[in-house]
Amino acid sequence: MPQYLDGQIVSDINLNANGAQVNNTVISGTFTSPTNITTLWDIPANSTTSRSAFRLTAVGTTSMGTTGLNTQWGIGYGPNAATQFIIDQEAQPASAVWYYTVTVWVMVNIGGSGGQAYIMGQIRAGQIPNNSVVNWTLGVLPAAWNTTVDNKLSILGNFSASTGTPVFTNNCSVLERLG
Amino acid sequence: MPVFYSGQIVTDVELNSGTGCVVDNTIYTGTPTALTQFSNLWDVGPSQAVVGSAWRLTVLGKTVQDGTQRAQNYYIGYGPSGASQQEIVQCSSADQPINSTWVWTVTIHLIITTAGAGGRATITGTLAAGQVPNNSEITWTGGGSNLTFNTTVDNKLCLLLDFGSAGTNYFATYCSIFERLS
Repeated sequence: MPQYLDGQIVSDINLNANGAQVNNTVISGTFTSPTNITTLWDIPANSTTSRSAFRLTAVGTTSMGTTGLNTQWGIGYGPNAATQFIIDQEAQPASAVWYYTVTVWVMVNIGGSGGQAYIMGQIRAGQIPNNSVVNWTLGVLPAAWNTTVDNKLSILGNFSASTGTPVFTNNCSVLERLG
Repeated sequence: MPVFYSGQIVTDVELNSGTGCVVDNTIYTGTPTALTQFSNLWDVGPSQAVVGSAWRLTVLGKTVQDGTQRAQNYYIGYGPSGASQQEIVQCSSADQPINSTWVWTVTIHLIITTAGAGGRATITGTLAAGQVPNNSEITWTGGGSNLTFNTTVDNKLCLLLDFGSAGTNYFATYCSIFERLS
């Protein structure tokens, strides 16, 4: 979200570097290892400092096949989003469809090459009818976060196996710059 | 969210009358046994709100339990000096296992339903917590509607926490994010 100073002349660069962005690319598949289910959102080098914050939200469904399996969600962050953190793993009943929202917060606490961020993710999912539900929050408190290099942020999803052909479908993601 | 155009010179008036978001990264830690402020005391200035004005306060934190089962409470502080309290949830001593850590977010919404000296507001809070590994979790929403909220005076908003008893257990909050939504 834009943060400006009294007297600041707002430029296109300011406008484009802040605020909320939406990506509606549908990402779908039977993933059996943590896979990006959102676009790989960019946090450019030297664009953050202490108190810079982001919120990434993803919505979608997980459709279980004929065999119940574990479904899990995670966070990809850092250069190339190569660092992975699992928010939650839950047993999803056979043939159940979960509608989920995943929200991830990144709050940069210390800038620089030895920087630090608090990264937290929250998964909420429910089945129709009301047969199963998931609520879970977990995070990395703190995580190493080098603000002088290009970082990425994504949400990850996968199943414990491909038995019965379960399908992850992420419908969109929203990245908001909060500070 | 503030909407500005390229080339615009931003003034204090625009900043203060618009919507926006502020982040505070002060770390609060402690083992209080009476409700204690665990976020910045965010300011809702006098005469800044009308019917439909809304704010969202998000706090990221954790709760570390020692070897004794202990209750814990999550409340909202609001009104002048944040002195009024509204319960989000009271967790019993059985909710969080001993020697475990809950990582959590609290999201508080403040919506003005009546403006003026006799104003009213709806204030809700949601606690969502999980343990590593997947042994326990809690998700709970509490709050109140039609609460007294005088919009002509200075009001504050914050998160309040305490335990039922003290040992080496503690709370830690890492940041709070205060958004004006309308």
